[in-house]
Amino acid sequence: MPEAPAIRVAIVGNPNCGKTCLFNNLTGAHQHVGNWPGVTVERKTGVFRHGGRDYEVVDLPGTYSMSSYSIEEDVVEQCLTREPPEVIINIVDSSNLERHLFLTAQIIELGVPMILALNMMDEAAQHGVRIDTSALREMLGVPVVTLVARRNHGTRELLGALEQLVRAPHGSHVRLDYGAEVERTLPQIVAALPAAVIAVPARLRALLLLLNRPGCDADAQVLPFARAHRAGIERATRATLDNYLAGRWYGFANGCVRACVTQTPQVRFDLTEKLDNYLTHPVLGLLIFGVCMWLVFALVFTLSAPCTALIELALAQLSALAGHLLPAGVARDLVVDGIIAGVGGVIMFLPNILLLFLAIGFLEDSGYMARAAFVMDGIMHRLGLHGKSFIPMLIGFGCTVPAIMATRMLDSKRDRILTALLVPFMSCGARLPVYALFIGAFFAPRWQATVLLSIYLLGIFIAIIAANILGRILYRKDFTPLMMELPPYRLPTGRSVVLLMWTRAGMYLRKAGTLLLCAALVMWFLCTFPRATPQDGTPGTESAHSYADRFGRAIEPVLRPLGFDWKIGVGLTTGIVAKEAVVSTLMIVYGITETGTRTTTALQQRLRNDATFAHGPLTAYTLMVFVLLYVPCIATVAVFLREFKLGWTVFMVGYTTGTAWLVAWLVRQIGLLLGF
Amino acid sequence: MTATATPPSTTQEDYLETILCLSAEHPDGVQVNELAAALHVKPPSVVEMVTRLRAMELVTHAPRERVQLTARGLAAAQAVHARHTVLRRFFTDILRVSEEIAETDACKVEHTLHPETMARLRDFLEHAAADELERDHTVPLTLLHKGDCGILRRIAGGHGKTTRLAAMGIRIGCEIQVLQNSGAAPVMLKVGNARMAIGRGLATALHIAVVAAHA
Repeated sequence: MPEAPAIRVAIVGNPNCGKTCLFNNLTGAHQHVGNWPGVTVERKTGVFRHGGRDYEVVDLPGTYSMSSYSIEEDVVEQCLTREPPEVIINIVDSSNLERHLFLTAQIIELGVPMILALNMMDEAAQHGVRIDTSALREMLGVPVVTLVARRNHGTRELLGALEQLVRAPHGSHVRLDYGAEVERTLPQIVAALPAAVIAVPARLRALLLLLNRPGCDADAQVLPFARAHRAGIERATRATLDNYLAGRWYGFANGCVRACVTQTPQVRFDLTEKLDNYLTHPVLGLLIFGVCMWLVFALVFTLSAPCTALIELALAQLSALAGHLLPAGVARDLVVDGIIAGVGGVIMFLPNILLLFLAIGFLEDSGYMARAAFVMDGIMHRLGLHGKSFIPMLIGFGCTVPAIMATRMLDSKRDRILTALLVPFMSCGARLPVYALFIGAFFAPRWQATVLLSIYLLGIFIAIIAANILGRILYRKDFTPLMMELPPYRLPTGRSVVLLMWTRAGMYLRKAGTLLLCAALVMWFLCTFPRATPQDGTPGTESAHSYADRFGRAIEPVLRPLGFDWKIGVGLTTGIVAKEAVVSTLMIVYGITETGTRTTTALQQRLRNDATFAHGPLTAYTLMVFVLLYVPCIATVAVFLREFKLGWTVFMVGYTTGTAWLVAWLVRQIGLLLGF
Repeated sequence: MTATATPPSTTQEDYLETILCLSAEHPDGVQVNELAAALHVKPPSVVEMVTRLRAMELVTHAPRERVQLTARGLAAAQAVHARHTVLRRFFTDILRVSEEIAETDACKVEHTLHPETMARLRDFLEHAAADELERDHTVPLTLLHKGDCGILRRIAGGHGKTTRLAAMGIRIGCEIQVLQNSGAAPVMLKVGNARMAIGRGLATALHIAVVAAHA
């Protein structure tokens, strides 16, 4: 007997109600979860096997209703109406059931077999909410299960219900009554519908048409007909149809809650409220946010130092070992100068990266993320954006790629583009190794965290200025007001924070092993060839004839005003591939020109001795500023191109690099004036 | 008497109404010239019409004397004026027509509507008036203080916002508690067990009937 095809299951629910968490529980995947609305912005698919059947699970972005307002919600509507899954798991937050059932009422219309998963039962109990699940099952006509997805409780029961539902698929018996006017109209529109090309009930297609959102292109031809009816209904109900239907859905949700939920008043210590008094205070909140950021950077430096030293030691040993084992020649040079120096130089900063993501994981899981957006709303407002735009920017401190994806949660197109243009100025984790290298080389330990913070703050400052200018140029016809849910504070689970660190560490090492390795090999080649003929001059200047050297000298005039020489020019160029490559390239470039052990400490020593760094700290700072601001890595450019148009991408590349040059030049001039 | 049998014409009703309005300032009667100015007609026309109204026993008037409404005239004038008021309010309050247009349109329509239509309109406005009363007890969300509780009564402005807010659980009739409202920051609310941040611009459009003010 041929294997039955996988059963398609979609997880649907409001933002931040635990969809991705459940998805991970079901599939054993490690998708990123966080305690803020909008972590998932695109559909993700995973598979699992249960009871001899294969299941394909689709994790969808959170949505408040089936009427889409932002791209992430559009993803849901598209998925559910254009290619309906076989089973829907509608996950809801039990502590706030009424609002979540609003969406359930709309999902019921799809006629797809559905399971209602009451998540966060633990928190509901704390709030004094008791839910009569059997009554709810009766009212909704669908299986109801309870979950605590965060602790992986209830997954087995859910699987049982799923198996049962698959064996005997049935939709809900509930047929929502939309009142005489609508009910009279729906059959008329149904009669006018073209032959079904989508597997959506005709009633829902008619309803969507009435709401001016045709479920498929063929249905669009009935739109004028539906529009005429809509006008009639609106006259009769004296309300816009959207509002009228919203009222009906709410009525249903409210009815369910009245019948099935008992809320006992709780006089208890509300931690979230107490914390919010301080953390979202207009002045204190900003202050606390600043201190938190500083602590993060202090942590990144102090805690990582011993680990970094250890890795460095290991790399030095490895380098020496390779030197012994391999015969002198091109092969040894390649391994020692190219691979170990280049890739090793990047791996050295793994502890910093891990700590940065540990901090970001805490930020996301605790629920503070949405608060930071709240606190920053005032400032963001002056930029013509609102606080929600700050979330992608915060994510940008980790990595620019997901940050640009995260702009999907913004409601207006203008806000999306503007935010995405600012995100590259948020210093990403990949730039950290570059800072770590130069700060370690040129600044006293007690200043290191502050210098690092200043770089990050400069990025924010430049973003503010850029937003001011771009905001004026960019059309501003649709200012959407801020509407954002603030999740309760939760203690991050060790599992999810470690998971984030682990995933990130994996990505970092993979990047080091592939992209950065290639870049290192290419750099080594370019730095080594063509080899200087022996009679050509003094030893140790081979690289002065190499391709890299020629290239570096060609672009040097552009970088000279910033105080950079050709070596830095080459480093910055490879930095376009990935920011860490600046470090690996400098390792190779400096490693080849001089002899000695190829470790970060040695490189830092050599940097200090280099004539280019005569104004040591100033040149280092200028360089960090340039690295902070100039064109983001290839991956970012690619995702930017995918999300926006080519024109915007070209603009982004040009304006970031232009800004980098200008600001770096200003920093250098001011620094020279002040006598650094 | 034939006069009682024939109801006043449109023009006659206008005259009666105008006399009534002007009587507010001149309790002892209205002069022909004043009446002519108010109705934008020439005094001889006024004299002609007043003579006819006197024949119908709706006004009293002697040459070079002031025009005064009789008891019947007063009743008729008040009826017209009441209809005018109802219509004008309907035009301005419900249809949101400008005062000027409402005034002239009310003048035109007041004579022609069927009594039943008028009665229905009056009923409808009475409900609206109840709403309006309530409206006076609501305040924009931004004026509430931290800890205040209230019921959302109205969302001013576009319906797009209303639907969006409803989907997030903020809908007409729901109970709202203000958690945070200061400076230029968004307003933080508690609706059900959820916390929401609402931009100040939008918060101004949410009209709340305060239930419990925080000490």
